[in-house]
Amino acid sequence: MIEIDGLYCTRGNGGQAFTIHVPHLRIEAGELVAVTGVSGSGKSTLLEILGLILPPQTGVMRWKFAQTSIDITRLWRDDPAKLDTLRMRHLGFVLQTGGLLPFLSAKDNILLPRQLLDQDATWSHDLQNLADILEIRDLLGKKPRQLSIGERQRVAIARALAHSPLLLLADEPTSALDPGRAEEVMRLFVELIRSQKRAAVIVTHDYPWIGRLDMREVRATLESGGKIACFS
Amino acid sequence: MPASVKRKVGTSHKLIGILAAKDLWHDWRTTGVLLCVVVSIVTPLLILLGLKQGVINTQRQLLLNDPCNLEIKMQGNGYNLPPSWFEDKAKDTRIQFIIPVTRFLNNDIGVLDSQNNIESVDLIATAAGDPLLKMAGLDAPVNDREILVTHALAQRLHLQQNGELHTLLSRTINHEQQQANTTLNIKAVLPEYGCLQRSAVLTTLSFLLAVEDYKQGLNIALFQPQDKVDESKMPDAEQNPEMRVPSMLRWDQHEDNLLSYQKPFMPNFWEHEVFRDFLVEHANHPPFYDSMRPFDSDKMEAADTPQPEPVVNKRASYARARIFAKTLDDVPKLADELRSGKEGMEIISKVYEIEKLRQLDRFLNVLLLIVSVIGMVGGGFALGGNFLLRIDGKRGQIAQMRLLGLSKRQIAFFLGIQGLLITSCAFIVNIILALISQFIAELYGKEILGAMIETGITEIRIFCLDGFDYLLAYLVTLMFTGLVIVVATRQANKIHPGEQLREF
Repeated sequence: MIEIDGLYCTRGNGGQAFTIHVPHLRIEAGELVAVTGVSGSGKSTLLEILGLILPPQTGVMRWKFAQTSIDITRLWRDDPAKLDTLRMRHLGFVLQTGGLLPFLSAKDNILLPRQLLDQDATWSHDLQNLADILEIRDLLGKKPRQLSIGERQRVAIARALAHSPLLLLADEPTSALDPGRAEEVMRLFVELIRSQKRAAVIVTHDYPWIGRLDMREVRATLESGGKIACFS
Repeated sequence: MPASVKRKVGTSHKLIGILAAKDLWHDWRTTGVLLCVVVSIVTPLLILLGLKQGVINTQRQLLLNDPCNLEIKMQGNGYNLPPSWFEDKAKDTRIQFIIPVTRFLNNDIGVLDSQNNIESVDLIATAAGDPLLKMAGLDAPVNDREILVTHALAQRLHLQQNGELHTLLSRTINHEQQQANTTLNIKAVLPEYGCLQRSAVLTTLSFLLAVEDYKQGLNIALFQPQDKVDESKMPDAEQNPEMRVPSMLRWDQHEDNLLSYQKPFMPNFWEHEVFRDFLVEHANHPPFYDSMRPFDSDKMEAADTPQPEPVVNKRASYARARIFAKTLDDVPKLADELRSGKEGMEIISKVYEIEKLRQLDRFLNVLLLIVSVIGMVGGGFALGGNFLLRIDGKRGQIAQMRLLGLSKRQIAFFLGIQGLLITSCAFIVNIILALISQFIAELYGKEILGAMIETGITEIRIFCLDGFDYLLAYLVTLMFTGLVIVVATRQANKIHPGEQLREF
């Protein structure tokens, strides 16, 4: 579904420059990919590239789905504004502390992606199921500041899945949680992704989960004195 | 581009507007501060503008309340203004009314008071459109017997609307004193204007010209008593021989006497003994002539008074004109043109008072501009600074919205809606505070200024702001806030969506 070949992306200038290199990466529908590496190895940068936030300087990145092929690198060059629309429609994000909008209730946060896409924005049966699975039914009317971090993460997961995206991107989604709660949330997250046949790229430091949750690992390796991170 | 990429724009605008409003409501403390900043900048300016316009409008109303302030008066007698001159002036859009006027010597008439004393009053030619009449909502005379009288004259002679005014004209023809009378119908009494505090009669131009013609010695049919005589009310001449006074309308020649008397019809004052004696004394020289019937010179053997020629009421030129400008601002220029024109007229007008008003207006405008600039600059920094701080505090939120797929343009729209909502809510507060200020100003200001201002003003407005002023202030405030939003949007567009991915 997502193909990356010979991709380079450099951030910063001169001595502070840091380059991401992805020689070859395929992410298929329904596949869970864990991105690992030491701190500062460009894991979040890779997520930004996959999230259509950061443009690659060279290389090819394509999306292929529903008999459609979108050349992302060309879009970056010719019409970057359309990337916002692609991101809105086909990507879901789960951030470290949820990233919910503080002025909307949990329910409104979950409904927001559908509203932005002009989809059915009523509280449907599938959303109710999702809320039940994530055990957030009683939290729907609350504002994010009234929720704990774990509750916010679960609401964030619901929001990321509400509009049925092709790909979910999560940057250490459980790092702010205690270990018990973290595993619970991660397990729920992975189960939901698999049940809905979504693809997901998860940045994580929790190596034991990679095996337990049957995720494919893409590891960042620092080269050239830490100036280049190669993902393979 | 696949269909999944396209989406409806209108829906997202409405949704973004709702999100913007919810964000403002959620963050009510910061929103309140922004509201207060806008209110504190705009409300004092509105109040100053209202007071300035109130002062100017009150002064202007003082001038406009007396239509005489629009008049451009000609002094002197001999301008010889042809009808074409009047036609040209009538086409000038700055002139709202113009009418010819006779020489000073010929524009007065005698009126009789309750003691039968004769008093000379001015005659003023008028017509439809005369500002003196328009201001009072009165119609012009429709015939030569209809007049309007000034307030002063009405007070002195106890005249009323629909009453009568008995007038007397006199002239000397070949050393012979002649008089004519006529009774005029009072159509209305004018209010007390500043320039018309004297006794005067407003009449048609043709009547005024007829007076001049009569004084020049011409034959005027108009100067006769009333035609209709109620003889049944008159004492019988046979039984009241002492009441043998000549009839002024029915002047019949008697075979032996040029005077004959019929049933007298004159009002009581004509029956005054002195007047009767005068008539008897001048029996051979009737002091009144009748132009209703042609003189029969064959029968008037004893009369040696030369018979006047029938008058033809035409003019090749007129001595002066009554001119009223359309607005106060037109008065100075018109006055200058008449002075410097080929006629070289001597002009009197209210130019000084009008110029004083203009200078006051300019001075207050400058003051208001200075205060506005200071307010806007200071307010701009305050509002802009607050907005930028707000953007900075919402970096994560804005980055999150970008991650959700909102474009930079949509973020700009989000901030623009917030600016519009803040400005609009603040302006509602501005209007309320301005209205409260107006109420207080009207309540206390009238007491202070009312004693200082001349009477005649029906309404003093100390504070003057109309719908247009409020709308203009709202649009200016929107523009001002818009500039702040532009700066804030540039700041917001620098926020990278990836910032959310790097919280820790």
